[in-house]
Amino acid sequence: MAQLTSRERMLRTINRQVVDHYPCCFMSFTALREKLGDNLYELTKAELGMGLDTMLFIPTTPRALRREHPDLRGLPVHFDPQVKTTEWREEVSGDYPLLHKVYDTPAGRLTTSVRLTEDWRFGNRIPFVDDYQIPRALKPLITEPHELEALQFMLRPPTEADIAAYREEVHVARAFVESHGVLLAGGWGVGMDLANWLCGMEPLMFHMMDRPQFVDDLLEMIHVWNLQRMEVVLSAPPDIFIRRAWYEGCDFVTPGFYHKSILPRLKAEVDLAHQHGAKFGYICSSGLEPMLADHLAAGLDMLIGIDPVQGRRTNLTQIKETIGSTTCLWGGVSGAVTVERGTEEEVRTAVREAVQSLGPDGFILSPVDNLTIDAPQTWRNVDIFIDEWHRTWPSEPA
Amino acid sequence: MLRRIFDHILEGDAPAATECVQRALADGMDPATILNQAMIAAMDETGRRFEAGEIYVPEMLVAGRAMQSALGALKPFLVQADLEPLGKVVIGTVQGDLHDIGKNLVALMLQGAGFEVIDLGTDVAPARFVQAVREHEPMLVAMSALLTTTMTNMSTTVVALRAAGLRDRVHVMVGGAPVTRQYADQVGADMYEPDAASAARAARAAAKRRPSV
Ligand code: B1M
Repeated sequence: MAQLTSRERMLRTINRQVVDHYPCCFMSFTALREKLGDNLYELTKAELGMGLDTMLFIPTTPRALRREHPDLRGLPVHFDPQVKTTEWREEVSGDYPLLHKVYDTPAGRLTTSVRLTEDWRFGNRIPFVDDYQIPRALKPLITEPHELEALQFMLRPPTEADIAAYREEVHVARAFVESHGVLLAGGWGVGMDLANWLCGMEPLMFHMMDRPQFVDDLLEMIHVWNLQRMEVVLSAPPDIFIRRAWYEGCDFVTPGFYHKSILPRLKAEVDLAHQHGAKFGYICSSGLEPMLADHLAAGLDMLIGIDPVQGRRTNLTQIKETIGSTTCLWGGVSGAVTVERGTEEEVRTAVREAVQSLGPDGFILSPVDNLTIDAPQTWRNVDIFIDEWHRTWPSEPA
Repeated sequence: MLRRIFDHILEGDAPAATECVQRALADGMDPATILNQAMIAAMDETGRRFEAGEIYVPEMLVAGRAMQSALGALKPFLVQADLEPLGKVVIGTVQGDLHDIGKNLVALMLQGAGFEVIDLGTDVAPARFVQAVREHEPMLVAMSALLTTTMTNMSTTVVALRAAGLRDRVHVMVGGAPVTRQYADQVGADMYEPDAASAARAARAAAKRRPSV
């Protein structure tokens, strides 16, 4: 078979067609991205230069500009213009100062407070939602069902200006992916992750057990918002649409709640992506086993983030057997434990085991979920990782 | 009544579990029997089901909450009857790490197993572990870590305990997603446990042994 472009190889793998060799596309590569000033075009070029498969993710807005939602890639998050925010700092003797934020909306007031730990990254400001603030929050933004009315004013659809800016970027991005032969990815969709950011993780689990309707209503609100954002992102259309779902494994959601409240909405989102001709990828790196049947029912095209070390209830063989004949599996090696810290032999063994258990068909190799440490050992192990990937290609190309 | 307390804890029904404990006490039931045969037994069963993948973290959290609530009602009677906990445990997530869901489950299971748990929270500096050991004289120091970047603070903590002359007075247990038995040996811990239920079992077994380092 003639050598394929990276885009062809990725798409054929996702579609379970014959490829020259199975792809290796890093799902996140922060150490490299940060070296390149958070420029995703440069990241894509650099990864191609390393011989990797890659994708261009749109919108490419860098993290620093996603002020209200650093951990939610994608279109800007806008509040209703009637929402007024106030922030202030409170000194606490003998402890970290506190930061408070109030959102006054026509449907009432929402408040949150965080401890201003030494490593707080946002100055005297609290973003709307972020991974970083959950463990520092003394009071999460949403604690009671009646607050959902106010929340509605924060989850507004993309504005005309956002849509216009996105269309402009699509133009440039499309020309780029065509000339470089790489995949165009769009996203991120979000569900339970946003609910966790808004409510806090353990409180959300208690709400789910005590007042499931409250969480269901919250998820419905997020779903509607998500669909509005998806419509815009999918208009490109990208080759794949990605939804973040780190907090949708069984360490956060019971399988029963998942089936009742997450699956139907997820399925509707998958269907929407398909209507636009995009494949649907779902990032979840832990607690996968009990949800696999629902992943199948949702029609996921890719399950992204399979981590054999840090992923709890993540059995590679079982995943392959249960969903591997229809869903493309992406990941296979721990980024933080094996690639950033492992020995050469550990990296090579992990790559071989990943392809044996998850591949070679319908499999995209990647460290999960990220490489963040810019240190000689990381770069050395990345070279070994890529070398071992090459060694596991078929000797006779298909 | 014991059966009902057991069931309510398993179901995570805190008000019902607490009310049944109060009724059992009012009926003159022995507090130690309530604790051991209903409450600790229910947490053991919770742990078993969790390990077997029959229940998940949210169910375990509500079972723990029910246990804590019922324990609140029982505690004054345990004190009156001079019933000592199995031992004290100082637990925390190591410095630099803010993950605490797993650590909280371990704390719940330890409490459910009959230990008095002193939870230092997250981002716990070695000096705070040392100070807590001095203050509370626990039989066990339990450290959790989820980040490879800061799990080395398990080792730093063990070194600090040694420097303070406290290492041979306590057992040290470590756990968390990136931690392995081999890593536990490397940092000088006595025990590695993969999950909350096994951590409680191992702590119980350790309570019968003297620390030996
Ligand atoms: C003493 O004896 C014992 C014995 C057993 C013990 C024990 C102690 N401690 C635990 N156990 C054991 O018993 C428990 C149950 O039986 C188990 O506990 P676990 O804690 O393993 O399991 C829990 C029940 C459920 N699991 C979890 O709670 C962890 C789930 C994942 C998705 C995760 C979460 C939820 C979070 N995170 Co974080 N997070 C991830 C996790 C992914 C993963 N695969 O683990 C991980 C750990 N996070 C990671 C990262 C990078 C980060 N996180 C961060 C933040 C967060 C949240 C705050 C958003 C949240 C934590 C909320 C909280 N209150 O804990 C940041 C760091 C913050 C900090 N300084 O700590 C941040 C740096 C990301 C960021 N955006 O800034 C990754 C670590 C990579 C690495 N270098 O090791 C990560 C593996 C995700 C990934 N796939 O890349 C066992 O391990």
